Amino acid sequence: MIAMTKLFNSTASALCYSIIYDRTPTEETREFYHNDVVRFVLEQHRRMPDYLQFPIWLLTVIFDCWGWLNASPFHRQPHQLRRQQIEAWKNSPFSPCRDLMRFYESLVVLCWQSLVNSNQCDRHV
Amino acid sequence: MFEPQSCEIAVIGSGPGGAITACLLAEAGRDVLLIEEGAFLPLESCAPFSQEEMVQKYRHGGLTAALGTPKVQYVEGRCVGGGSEINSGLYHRTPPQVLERWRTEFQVEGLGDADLLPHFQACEEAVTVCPLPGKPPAASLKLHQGAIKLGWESLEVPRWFRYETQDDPNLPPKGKRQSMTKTFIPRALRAGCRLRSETRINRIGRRGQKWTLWANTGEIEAETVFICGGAIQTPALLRRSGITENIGNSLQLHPTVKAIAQFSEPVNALDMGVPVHQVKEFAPRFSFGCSISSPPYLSVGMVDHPEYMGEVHRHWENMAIYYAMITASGRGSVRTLPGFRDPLVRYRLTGEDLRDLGDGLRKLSQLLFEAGAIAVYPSLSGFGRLKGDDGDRIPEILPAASTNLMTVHLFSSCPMGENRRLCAVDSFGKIHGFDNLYIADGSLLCTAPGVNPQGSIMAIARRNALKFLDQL
Repeated sequence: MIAMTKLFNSTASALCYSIIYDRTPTEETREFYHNDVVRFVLEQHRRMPDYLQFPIWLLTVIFDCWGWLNASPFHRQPHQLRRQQIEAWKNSPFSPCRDLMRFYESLVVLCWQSLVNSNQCDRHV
Repeated sequence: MFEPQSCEIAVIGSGPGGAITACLLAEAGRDVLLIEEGAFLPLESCAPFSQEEMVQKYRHGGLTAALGTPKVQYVEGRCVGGGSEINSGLYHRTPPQVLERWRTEFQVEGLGDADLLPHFQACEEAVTVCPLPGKPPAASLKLHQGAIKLGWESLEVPRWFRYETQDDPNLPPKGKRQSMTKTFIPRALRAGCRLRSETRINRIGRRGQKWTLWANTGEIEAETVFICGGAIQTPALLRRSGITENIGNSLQLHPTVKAIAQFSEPVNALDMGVPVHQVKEFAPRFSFGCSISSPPYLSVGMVDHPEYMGEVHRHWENMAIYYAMITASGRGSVRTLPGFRDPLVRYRLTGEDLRDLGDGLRKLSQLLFEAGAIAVYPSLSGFGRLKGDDGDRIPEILPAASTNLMTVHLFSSCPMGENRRLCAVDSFGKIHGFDNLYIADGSLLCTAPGVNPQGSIMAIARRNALKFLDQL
């Protein structure tokens, strides 16, 4: 069970890093909020309604294993392969796949932009 | 160290319904215990509409959805003061035609426009409902200007807000939302009401002449119980307690589709505040408004348009989020799941609802371009952006699979009235078939009011509390 939890955390973390890499401008990516974002996403997962936590957990683990089609689990892939897998799941005809990607992408973007914003506000102060 | 475990009246939930009920009962000299699952946090504990607020004050960190095709994301407050601590504070009275429908269809007694008027007035005074004293946010004015150009009805909606006086009328007005922790809860506490926060009631049951409440902190005994947990938590608690007749079967909400508009000049600022205009030309079918449009919210809204995410980074000051909100004919349910703590919420939109959403989104885009937008980004996955002359690309019926909906208005899961076939509670909130058990929150609104519901919830809670006290 501990191994599975570690696998889930690694996959969620890899997803967060990839989304940050793709969705934030280069100058912002120099700021290193990555681990704050990962922490927020994992905490939000724990706050979800209890009957949704397991499906998200399971889908995330399946998402990681899906990477074996490209020879290694998602969290060990290089960025280019990760991006391809994320795009494939975002455009999947299977709605749980799309929903999973939307779940991570929305949380990452919200947290990242909130951190950038509060940092900018602090600088103004 | 807990306070005594018994009281005359237990009020479960401290949102607008519960806070007003507890306040009036305590002021009438009754022994009241107000119970809230969330924490007792001051309004100022975090910035409004921030990520921190989601974590502190929203149930499940804001990650709640009514399942269906499409899903509808919703939010509930989970803190002392409930939804009043996190909403925009826009105020409407219940439209008279809605009250008339409740009277004829649900046989609600004593709830005409004239019956509710003194309750509206008393609540409006208590929470300082007033118009914005200065210049509305530019994004809000854009909506208004677009509507005026098209000859559509647009109005400035008052808020429960206490504004500070300021010399420069061009600065955004500053003030404090008059939430329950600023108004009715301090009044209730001064009148002797006891408040127990971070206490979850798992179920209730009758034991002799009293109600027993099984909480995470132990048992509580009460002669009378008011359940005020809102349209999701109230039916969930009742169903967990084996009370199921017309409970949680008829959930309604205002499905809302959003669109980001981009203008060629600034309309947004970090201190923009809450937009106050709403376009009511097509009400009750649908209405339009402007949402909180901070950069984090804009970025999340742009998840449907990843290729344009850079526009938010470069031009967020020229962008704002708008919405089309429909009065839907769809229905939902609230159910408990064996082995799980949280209730399953489902909602099914009808074809007519998806058509109204499509029409609403098309007309909203038309309005935004009329107001000077150079691009509109609807919350439809994979749809692309609109550039002005291509609004008819929006499908007549929105595709269920790619439409992203949300709502902040939920109600009607335990409707009131004398029609026993439809209603869970009587015309004054007492649960049919049970003694000394009442509901006082949005779940007893019979149907979707088509406007922000907090005004209706407060007025009806006041009326029902006074009826309970024989003061009506």
